[in-house]
Amino acid sequence: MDMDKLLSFDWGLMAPEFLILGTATILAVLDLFLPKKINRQVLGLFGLAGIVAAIVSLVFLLDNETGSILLETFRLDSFGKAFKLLLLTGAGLVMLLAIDYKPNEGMEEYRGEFFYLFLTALLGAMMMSSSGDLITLFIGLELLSISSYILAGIRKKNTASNESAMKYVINGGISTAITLFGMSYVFGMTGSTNLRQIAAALLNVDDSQQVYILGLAFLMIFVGLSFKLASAPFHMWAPDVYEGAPTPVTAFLSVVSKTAGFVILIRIMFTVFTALPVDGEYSQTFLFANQDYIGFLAGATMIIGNVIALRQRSIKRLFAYSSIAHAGYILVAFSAMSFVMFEAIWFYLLAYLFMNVGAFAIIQLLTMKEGTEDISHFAGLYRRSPLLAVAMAIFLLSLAGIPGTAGFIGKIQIFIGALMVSPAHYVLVSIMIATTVVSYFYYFGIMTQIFFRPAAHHEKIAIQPGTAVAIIVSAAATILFGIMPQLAYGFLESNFKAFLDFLA
Amino acid sequence: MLSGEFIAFIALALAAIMGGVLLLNLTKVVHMVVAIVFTFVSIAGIYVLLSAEFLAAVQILIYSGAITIIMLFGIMLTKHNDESEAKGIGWRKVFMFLGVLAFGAAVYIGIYDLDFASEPSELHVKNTEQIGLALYSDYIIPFELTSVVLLVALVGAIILARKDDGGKGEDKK
Amino acid sequence: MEIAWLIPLFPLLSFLVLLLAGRRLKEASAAAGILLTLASLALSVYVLIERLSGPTFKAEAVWLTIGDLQLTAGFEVNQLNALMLVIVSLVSFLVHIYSKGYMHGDERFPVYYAYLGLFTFSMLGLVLSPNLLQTYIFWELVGLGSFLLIGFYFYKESAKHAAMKAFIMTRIGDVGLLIGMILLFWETGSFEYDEIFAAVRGGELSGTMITLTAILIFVGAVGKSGQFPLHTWLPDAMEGPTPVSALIHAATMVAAGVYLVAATFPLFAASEAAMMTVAIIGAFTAIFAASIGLVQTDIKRVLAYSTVSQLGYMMLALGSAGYVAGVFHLMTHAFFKALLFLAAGSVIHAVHTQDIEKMGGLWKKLRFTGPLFLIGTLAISGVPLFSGFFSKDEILIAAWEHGNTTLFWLAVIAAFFTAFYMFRLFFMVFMGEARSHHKAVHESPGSMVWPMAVLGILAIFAGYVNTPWFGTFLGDWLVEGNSALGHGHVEGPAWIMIVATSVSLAGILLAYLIYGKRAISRDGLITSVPLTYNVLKNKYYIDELYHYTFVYGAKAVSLFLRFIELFLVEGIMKTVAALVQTLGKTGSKIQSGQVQTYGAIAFAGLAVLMLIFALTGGYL
Repeated sequence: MDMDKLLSFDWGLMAPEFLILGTATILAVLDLFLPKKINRQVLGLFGLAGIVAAIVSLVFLLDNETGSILLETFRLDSFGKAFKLLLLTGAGLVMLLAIDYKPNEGMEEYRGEFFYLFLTALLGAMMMSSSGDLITLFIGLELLSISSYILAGIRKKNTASNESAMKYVINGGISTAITLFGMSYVFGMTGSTNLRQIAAALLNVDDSQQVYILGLAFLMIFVGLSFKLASAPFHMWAPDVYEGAPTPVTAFLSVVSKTAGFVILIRIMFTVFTALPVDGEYSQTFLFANQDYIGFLAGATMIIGNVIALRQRSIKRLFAYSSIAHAGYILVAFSAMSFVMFEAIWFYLLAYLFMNVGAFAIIQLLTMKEGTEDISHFAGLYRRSPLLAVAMAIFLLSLAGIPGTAGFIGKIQIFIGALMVSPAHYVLVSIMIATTVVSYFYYFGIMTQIFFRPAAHHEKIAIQPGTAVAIIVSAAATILFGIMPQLAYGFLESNFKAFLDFLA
Repeated sequence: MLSGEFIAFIALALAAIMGGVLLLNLTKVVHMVVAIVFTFVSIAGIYVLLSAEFLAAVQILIYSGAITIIMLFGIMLTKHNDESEAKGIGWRKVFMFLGVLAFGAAVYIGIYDLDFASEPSELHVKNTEQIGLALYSDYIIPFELTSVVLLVALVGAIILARKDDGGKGEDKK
Repeated sequence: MEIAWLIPLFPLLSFLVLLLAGRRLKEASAAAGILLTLASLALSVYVLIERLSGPTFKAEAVWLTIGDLQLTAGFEVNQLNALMLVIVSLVSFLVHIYSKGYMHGDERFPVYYAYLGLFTFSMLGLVLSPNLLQTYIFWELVGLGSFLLIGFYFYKESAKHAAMKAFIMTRIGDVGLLIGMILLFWETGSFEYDEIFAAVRGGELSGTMITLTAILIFVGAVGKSGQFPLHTWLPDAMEGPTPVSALIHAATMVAAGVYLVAATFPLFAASEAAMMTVAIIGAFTAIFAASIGLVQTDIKRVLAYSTVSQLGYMMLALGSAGYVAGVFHLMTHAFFKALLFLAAGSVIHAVHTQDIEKMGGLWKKLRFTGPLFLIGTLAISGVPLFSGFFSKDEILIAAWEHGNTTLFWLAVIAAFFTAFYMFRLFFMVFMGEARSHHKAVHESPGSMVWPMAVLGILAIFAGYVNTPWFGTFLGDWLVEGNSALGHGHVEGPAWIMIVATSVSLAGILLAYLIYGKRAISRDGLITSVPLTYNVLKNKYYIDELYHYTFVYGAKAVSLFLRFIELFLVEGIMKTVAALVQTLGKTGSKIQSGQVQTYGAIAFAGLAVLMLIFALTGGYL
């Protein structure tokens, strides 16, 4: 391939990725050569600027036709755009937290590295959202994973952080192995890594033996990727890692990383396994015939997440289980596979992004200077800072799915989606509703702490500007999308046209 | 069915698995490294069987060679006489064994009489060149992305492994 | 009517203002809250007057489009809404004024008013909703307001507990409502009441589906209105400040369940089974709660059980096709029960205890509260010419005419119980000797007395808008233009009124003989009224009869029902809770922190899935 050919591709499609990569590189170089005395927070601001620039460039790309480069190893379709927007927004908000994150120990020396590793993780997540090739998808996944392992352990002198990184690496390794094994079967059966070619090859599969092997691959890929989603059966790392990792990293794992997990899961499952006919019959595709497996894991995830959350005293562990539970809710939407599935998942992830980042911002404020993360740090928050208390209440209400918040709209859409398909998923919906009720106990337990408990100490809480912006944006968005969800759906409708180009 | 290729495959596969099992069950670190070399070399052999000579060479060079040597260096420079304590059979091991059994059974059901019509393949012809062409043309994006992955891994390794004596030592005890 | 949407906004404004500026306003917060609620009240009255002559008004806009699904938001003013608007804003306004005196000196005064604003906003929004989804949204917000207000005295452990309990228990009901709502949406393609009713009329839904959805919606109502078996949160909710109990747990929020059933009445009316369920649950709750009320000694808990019981009446009415009767009782009950709670609050304010065993002889000390409480008691007992008399009569007639003979008699017995325990309460609190020493018992300030006086007047006269004697104005208006709601007035046999009157008088008499008799000089009575003398002469006989039959009998029944409540209902709740707890415990135990375990479980999970796939997939 000569230079002309290389330049003939529309590299402009990759502008957001290039911006992030460039920013990360510049940060790495700056971090190396800037004198030690310069505060590395500047680098964080620079990184934030890079993310904002990437968002802007992505917005300019929204009108572009679906395009791809080099055998679809990069592919920008509306699905990719929509979810990349979520990833970038989430990362931007988490970056705000990261800039203000100053724990008592163990962070100062690696602040610069922290920021650019953060960006490479984001880059990995972005690649996962816009590729039509298993190889690129997998490398994006690895880039995200490896960056996250280091981020989790970046507070080197903090044993909890070390332990969390260690656990994350080991479990991540197992998950990668399983995913890759599954992918290798898919490759072996079809002889291609390009998703569309795979799909085309699978259309002709009529041997039940081959369907069986692909079924195993399906389960392996799903279970392997459930590590990224923190859903059953690969959820157990989450509480330990969330607890030990620095708070912004926890926020990143629970929002950006999880979103990326869903993105790659949907991408692979929906292009590959919807093409596979069951037993040579075309009336039903493999994915639809086997949605019960996803449904079963969704149910298990919701039950495990919500029930174990009841017993947690550490706020970060509690949010880890809550995050597991939310992965379960989204899996309900996935396993229902209604025609509003993309919208439902996108909106839920959007709502989840804001409410979770907002909650983590407040958690970071309250626990950063303390050694522990006990729920009791929330006691009497209402007396110490009414505005923070109200903001936290908004996030908790949204997480619990109380009307008036974005979380409610997200949940109700999942309900509608799960009941509108036939046969309707009554069992799954019942589990979801029942576990949602269970979740009220722990969310409102925190509310009780905030509003109905006297404060242990009364000093004012100093709110740094970045965190303040993150909280305000999150709270405003949570309420806004709760009252006027049409804004988000209208945006989806007008820009992504029901994701029709997903399979095209 | 019992061709020479099949026998070679069985032998190599068994060696690879045995290497893995030994790695887990041996107690001396140096023995473990030897066990893992077994696995690496056997896998390289399987690559040869599959006519992927380039991969086989790389496997020998990097895994059996470089990585093993680095591990040995690491062991030499640290506590090379350390032994991992052997533990009894816990519920987890039983559990795991059943899991592996189930996994193996499920996969075996799938493959024991799986038959692909063998197609004439050009893969083994100049496969090094083919790999090079693919990597540097069609798969340039993932290839470049891999370099970012390696960079990240490098930075991460430095962060996590570096001794902080020369640092600001803000919270040195 | 076009401006009806403004009505809920005033309390919302009050909430926001007080939330942000409450600390600076201090007790002036009350003024802000009162003025803004007054604005709501004035507007509500205006809307009601307009609605009396005008047609139903409905305004809507598209709120959300997802693919082909379209959801709307807006507001509607029909007869039921207009009436509820006035009830809610009036009671809320009065409670706002009353609280100024009651909550005086509380350091979280502005917060209290802010919460009141939030609650009033949600309740008014609930009433104005033209569709199920919007109703549900406000339904949950109302619950949130209630949660915050019940837990207002957060330093009391019991209050915190009660707040949680109320929130979770009502949520269990909401699950039913939510599922019913979504099912209806899926069957009819709309959340709009009108379209759902049209679909029901047009036979688009199968009979089973109508019954199922109606019962699911009723489950929501059961939770909110404290019907058996989800009633246990309501008595506990009395941990909140008393004016809150008057507003939320007597007049408005708990009535929302009844309102919901009334608002979706055409759906219920289309299913005989659903109607029967409503009627049976209602009647059973009515007698069940009333009998428990017989032995309670906490003034607010007596009133709470009485509320549960009265709500049961309303459900019975609705379930017996007595739409008008149910709504009518909802209105009169709002007034007299709010009055009773406020008066109880005034008593508590004066003596600083809620235990009626420690009260007594307050009639002379509380010159205003006493008579007002008596008015409320007479109204709830169904004494002729008071408001409760007419509405209760309507309910009994509805039950009889609908052919629910057993339920009718249950309701009659419940009426007897009601009269009895209410007067027992009255006599124990106000009559006789003071049973414990209270220092300086003062009548409450004017800000507390005036709201009670207004409610007192309403408790007497509110019934006259719908009587068999002076015209059934309310009933005719309520069902105007909608045949599905039944008739404005159902003619019933005259003996029902006589029976109702006599049982309530009998209840009062019995209560008097047992708890009040010592208050009145027996000698004076003997000489002046020989007939009374004879009755009193037999007092030992009645007393004994009462003791050996009634007291033990009632106590036994009451204890038995209490037993059911404690062990069956709460037992089931506890079992579920324990199950969840155990699951949680086991889950945390597996979460040992050992990374090998995590990997093992993930891999084992995969292996199990693959095994299941291999065994069930038919690929073997």
